[in-house]
Amino acid sequence: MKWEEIIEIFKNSLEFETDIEINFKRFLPYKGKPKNLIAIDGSSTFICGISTLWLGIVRVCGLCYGLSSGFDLLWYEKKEHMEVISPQNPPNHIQRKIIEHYPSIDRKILINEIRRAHEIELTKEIAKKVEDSIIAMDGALTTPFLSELKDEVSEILNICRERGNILIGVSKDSRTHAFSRVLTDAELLEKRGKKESYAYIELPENFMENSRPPLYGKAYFVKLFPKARWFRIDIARGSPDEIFPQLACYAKSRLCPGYIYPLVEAHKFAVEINKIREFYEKKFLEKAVKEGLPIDKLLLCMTNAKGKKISDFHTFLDEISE
Amino acid sequence: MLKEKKYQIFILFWMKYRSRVENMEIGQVVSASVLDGIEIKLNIENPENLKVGYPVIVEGKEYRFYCVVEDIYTPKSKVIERIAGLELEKTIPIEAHETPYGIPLSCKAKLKPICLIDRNNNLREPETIPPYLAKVRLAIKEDVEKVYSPSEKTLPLGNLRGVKFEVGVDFERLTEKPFAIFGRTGVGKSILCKIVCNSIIAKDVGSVFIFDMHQEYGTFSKTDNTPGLKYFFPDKVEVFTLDPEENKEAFPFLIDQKNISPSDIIVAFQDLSESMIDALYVIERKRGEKDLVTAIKEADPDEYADKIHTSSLLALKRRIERLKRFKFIKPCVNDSFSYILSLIRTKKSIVLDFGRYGTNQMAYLFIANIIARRLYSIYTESPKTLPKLILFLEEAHKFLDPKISNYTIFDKLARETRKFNLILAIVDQRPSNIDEDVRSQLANRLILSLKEPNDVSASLSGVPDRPTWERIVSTMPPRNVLLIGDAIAIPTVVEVLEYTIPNMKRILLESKLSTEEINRIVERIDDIF
Repeated sequence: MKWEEIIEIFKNSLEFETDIEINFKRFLPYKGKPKNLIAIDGSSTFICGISTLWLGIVRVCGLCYGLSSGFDLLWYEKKEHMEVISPQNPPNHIQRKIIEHYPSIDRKILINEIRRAHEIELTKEIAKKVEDSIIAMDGALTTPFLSELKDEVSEILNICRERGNILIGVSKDSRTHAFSRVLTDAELLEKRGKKESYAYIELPENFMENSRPPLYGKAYFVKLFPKARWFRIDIARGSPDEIFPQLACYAKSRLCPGYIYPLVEAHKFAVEINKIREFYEKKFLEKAVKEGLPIDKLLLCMTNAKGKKISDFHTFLDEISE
Repeated sequence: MLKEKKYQIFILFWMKYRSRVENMEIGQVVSASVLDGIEIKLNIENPENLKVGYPVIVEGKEYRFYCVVEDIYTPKSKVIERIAGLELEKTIPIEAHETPYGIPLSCKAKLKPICLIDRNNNLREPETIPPYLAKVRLAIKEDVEKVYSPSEKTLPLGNLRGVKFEVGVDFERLTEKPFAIFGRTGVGKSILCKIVCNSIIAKDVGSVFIFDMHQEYGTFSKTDNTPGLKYFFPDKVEVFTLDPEENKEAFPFLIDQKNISPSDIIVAFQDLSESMIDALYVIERKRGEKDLVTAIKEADPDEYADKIHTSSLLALKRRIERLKRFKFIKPCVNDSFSYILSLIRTKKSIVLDFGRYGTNQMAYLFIANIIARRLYSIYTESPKTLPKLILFLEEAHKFLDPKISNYTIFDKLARETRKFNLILAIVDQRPSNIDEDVRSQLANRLILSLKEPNDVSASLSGVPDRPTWERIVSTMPPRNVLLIGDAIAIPTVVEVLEYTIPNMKRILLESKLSTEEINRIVERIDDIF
């Protein structure tokens, strides 16, 4: 292909990509005291693996923030769960269900789904406990794999309605193409919505219809602080004109302007699981040896945080490549 | 009933103590090493509230680790690097963010363990480390009292940084061996020196002899009108002056020409060539009954032609004419030194006021050398029969510079005289210019702020863990002093006392009562009331 042809194709493509009518809706941050916001997130790590049998730990947490002159942490909850993961021989019905749908699923996706299930469980508990608050989950408001989780989410939505809570899902990164362009929606909005300060746009209805289920409520792209990034935020039920001005108040952190700060802390709190994995590792070894499991074989099964066995040649290659 | 009341009081006291201690918490241990010290994560909002040199306590399981803050820093953060420079006017500042772990981006501090306090309040060497996440708090008076238990001869020099607690020095121990006060100009050397001199006199651990170049140590300082030694101790201090026309209250100080030796001339002039120094010694050997100055003046070049080059002799003659400017050199039967010595025998302290010669370096070097040499000679002739005398030597590097120290007795003073009750106290701003052998003899050092790296390093030569203390000394503000040596329980940074009349009276004159005297009063307390 000649250079001229290549350039022409790219030029047409770029013009087409941003040549789209977008009606931004503008808003201003809420002037009064916003509702309390509970940020929910989770993380997981592996401790050991024998062939296709893995031991992982999941931490889920909810941090409740209020806003005065600063971000006030009102309370927090955390739960840690030890999970045996086995795509070949699923130890419980959740894993069996997931594997029925996705037979080639690997341990990482499996533990992620289990984490999601624990997040939803915690969200339900918190939704019952609080009222007139915003509950922000990390990621889109979807339940891709398990039908049981759909029921759980439906129950959460009912609880939220009864107690005046608003459930939202905030995606750190979004790779959707709701506007049917080669650029992702986030990339497109970075270009077209650069000059906007506080604005949002609802994703096209046909995209949302096609995503439902597993999508709950409506999906938007929102800019919560001038010159900040656009983030996808799903609202399960409620008016964006009421919710986004309140969220903008929580997106004024100097650490990450434009992103909902309590979610940052929830994320940091959840990934702390990597720092305490040694504690679980020691506990597991102690218990296993006490029950007569051979220590030499167990040690060969220990993994790093990502689930790679310490004895793996791949791990060795990673180490010498650093 | 009484027992119950006592118990209640104890509980109240304990609760008050705990709440004070909890309020002082500043962070937790994140790493520790016996060799490299303790690193802590701070949980205070503003790092400016903590300063280098502050005493802190790390609460271990078995011990309390008494430490000083060696460094405070903000660790590198990718987040900060990303947001630095952005327009963030309408954002919420980092310190207003609460997290499950305290402040989201916390600062850290490095601590230097000084000693361990065990459960029986015994002090131990810092031979172990506290566990992870051990709580760290500012030291309070109760902790500090355990570390600095005063002796009868202790007097405070200043306040501990960060705690309202006066830290004392055992002046008996301080004056047992040579010591030094180091510090650059304008950081409070003279005030510290005055406090030290006053404290030595107050505690009766010896007499002092001080060359008062700028008329600071007599009754009142001519420069800032602060009280001198004679103000607080009129009966224990005598003032002599080289300039009786200006200072009429002091005894005139006279030196007989016959008491001048070659070393006095070498030290005073500091610019004699090697051949001139040789000439000086040749004349000294041949002078007979004449004094050295007269012998030089009258020396005939032809007479010395085979031993001294004529040009060297003529140059020496020209130099010696400079002594004419010193009105205090006069022929006399007994010069003032004899009188001074008689006063020293009665435990009097001496201030030698330089009057108009205060800015004349040659006068200072000349007088200091003559007096030190004669004191050395007398003290070594009759060891231990004379009372202890502490000779304060300002601008000490001029005498102790390796190039010149061979001709003076000051290095001998530093090395030997503690056996003879004559103790050298060096006061200087350029410790790097002082002979290393002399520095190594210093049992105690009072180090004020120094900036020149060579001086910082030299001031701490021979001190264990020198790099740590170097960092502390080079970051200390004026009027703060690091005390290191056997006169203080542990190396300590203190903020020097304010040198005011009420403050000094409180410290110096209250201490006049010995423990025995206090005990006697206590025994008679019922009679008194």
